[in-house]
Amino acid sequence: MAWRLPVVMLLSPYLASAALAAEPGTAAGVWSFDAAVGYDSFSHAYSLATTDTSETVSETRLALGWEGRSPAGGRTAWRLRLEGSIGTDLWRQGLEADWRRRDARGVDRLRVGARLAGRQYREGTDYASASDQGEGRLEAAVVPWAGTGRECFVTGWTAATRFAIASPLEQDQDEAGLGIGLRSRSLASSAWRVALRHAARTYPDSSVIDRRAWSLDVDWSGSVGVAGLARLYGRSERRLAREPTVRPDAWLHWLDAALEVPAPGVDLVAEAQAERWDYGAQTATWVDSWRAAGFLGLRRGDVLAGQWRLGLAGEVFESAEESESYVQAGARAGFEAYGSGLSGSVVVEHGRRSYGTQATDEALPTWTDFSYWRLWLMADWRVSESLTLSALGNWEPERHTEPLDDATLGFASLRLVWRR
Amino acid sequence: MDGRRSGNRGKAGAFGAALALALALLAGVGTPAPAQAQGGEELRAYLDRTDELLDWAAGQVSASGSERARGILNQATQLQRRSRDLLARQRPLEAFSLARRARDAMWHAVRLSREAAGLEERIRVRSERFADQHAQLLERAREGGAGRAGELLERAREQAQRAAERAVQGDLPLAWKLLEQADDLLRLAARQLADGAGPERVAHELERSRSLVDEAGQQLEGGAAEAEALAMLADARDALARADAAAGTDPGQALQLAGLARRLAQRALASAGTGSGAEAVQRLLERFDARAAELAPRLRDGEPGPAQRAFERAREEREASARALADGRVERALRHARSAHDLLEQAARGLR
Repeated sequence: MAWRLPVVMLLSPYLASAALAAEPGTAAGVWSFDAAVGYDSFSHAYSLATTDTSETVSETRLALGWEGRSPAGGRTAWRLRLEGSIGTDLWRQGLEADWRRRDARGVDRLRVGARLAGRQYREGTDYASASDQGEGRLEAAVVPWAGTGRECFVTGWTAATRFAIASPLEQDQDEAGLGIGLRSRSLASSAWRVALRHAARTYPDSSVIDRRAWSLDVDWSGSVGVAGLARLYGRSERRLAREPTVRPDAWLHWLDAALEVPAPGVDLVAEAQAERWDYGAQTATWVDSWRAAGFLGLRRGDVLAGQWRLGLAGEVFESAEESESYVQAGARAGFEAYGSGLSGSVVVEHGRRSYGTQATDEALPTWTDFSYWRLWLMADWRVSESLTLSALGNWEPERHTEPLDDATLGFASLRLVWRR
Repeated sequence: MDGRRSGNRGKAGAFGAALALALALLAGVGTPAPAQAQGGEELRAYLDRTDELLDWAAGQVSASGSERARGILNQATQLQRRSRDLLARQRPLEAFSLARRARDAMWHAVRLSREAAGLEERIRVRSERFADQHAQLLERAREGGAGRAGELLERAREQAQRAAERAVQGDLPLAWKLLEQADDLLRLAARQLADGAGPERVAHELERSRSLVDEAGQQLEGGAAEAEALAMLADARDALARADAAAGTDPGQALQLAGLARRLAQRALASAGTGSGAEAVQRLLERFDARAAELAPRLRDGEPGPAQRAFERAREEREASARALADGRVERALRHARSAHDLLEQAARGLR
């Protein structure tokens, strides 16, 4: 397994290229290459009863990518991407392929996509779970009917993940699903999609957690007024477990909404996210809950010269286990700019989370109030036409009323990317 | 229960008992044997209860996907075992200290596992949503030339991969944060795409912006527009001039400036109260007809392809606009008219 997957993945692009070349008029693609050298670091600091209070995993890696796609405008379109990286902890390989056939009206009547990924851990890795793994996914979609502004689609997929050595967190799994839906096909500013899907996920080594899920998705984005933008996404999902006493059946309802409306001198920005979980049978681990989070603020400025964003963020979580319920509020400020050379964004948020009640049962955990900072940074410096230095990072310390509950999450990434 | 969680009302009884036990043990040093025996009994009871809680916690932790919770619970179990050893060797103070630390570690593990139980499912849902959105945006980025939006999409994909790797490691809080950042990157890419960031679109976007700025000029300068509207119009013209200047050297910046010019022109029209009027729609339709008449012969001569398809859909949008206008739905008519112009320009690009 460990050696077979990389070999298959290395050969796959050549096989795919050969297949594409066999079809007249599709082999002359547009090809590009990219290479990157970078450093990633993840850290999680927390107090513990023993002396160890933090965990940091860092990795340096060199990545290479090769991508080709068909020229625009053809009846047959394809895309192929191969990538691989050598890191101090992990070797990774990835392959993505996509092929589609369009009719005379430009409708993608048939689309087939495949994805393969492999990871091999090196000896002495800092990762806690270090089982080599391979993933594959194959999906297909057909459009049996297309009207002027909308089209019906049917999609199906199958996927598998395999680990060389199984562990509670590294379990082989298989998935298969079917979906049907309707979506807009206008190039106008408004777009929408409605889809019904059914998926089955199985775990060969732990069949008690097998499950099936029915889901209904609605997605819409469009203009509001003369220059406003809005986006709405809703999803309802019914999960049916094979063994409900191990993992209960559940209903999930999920909503994302965003609105940007111009006002005199500024843009009004509002974002909201809500979710509700209802379990068929509540257990000590799985309890009913709902959560609502949002941001309301103002944006001002020209994104090329610099754009400010200021506002209030809040979150409410209500759980059937009352001691987990909390209210959180914070102030958020951000700045972003997308000039020709240096571009990026920085966001800072400071706030506090308060838990309403404490557990009355000794056999339940307790939670303590805390104040937090969140810093999120993204920056790109275009050194030359083909060379970019990229940085990503976040730092989130929590300071609790009980100091031993303090925790800090952190992530930093620095990469030098060359594209041709 | 344990001295550490001093703010815990629900465990006040247990805390008091533990405190009393600690005091009793401290006071018991050097006291007669019966008192020590009583303290030893209470400590044994405390350790027995900790064993029960550890068993219960093991069930909680094993149901979650948190590797960290598992590790910490293992440490709690080891601390408890060492505490028992110390008690057996008649070292009750040290035994009690370790037993308290074992409970602290156990509660820490249980909290992490409860957080993880919810996060595991939330990460799955959010990952699926991310994959859907990423695929849609990638499609749009390819249609119009990737540009900076394409780079942002690539970074979003990498960040989602990092999140997936952290999830496999059982580090679910960090996986969730990374996934949030991947979503932020998607949003940035979507905004870039909404503003038209593909280098191939420069000429088209400049033309759109020029058309709108000219239209705003015709409407505002001939009438009694307010100073604020005229100032915004001047800003729009300035942005358009900067976009023209940048077109040859920095296509990305030119596109951004062209978008800015359009937004300013739209705001100028809106502030003057003429932006969504029936007259504006009518003028757009007339301009469409004139442009369509120019393109039609060339499109007829060419072979069927994307340009013809775009032209056909542009005419459909134009008809939809006219119908909406006749029904008195001016906002809708304006949107259809703009879509018609966009599609017409797409058809024109296809002929080049």
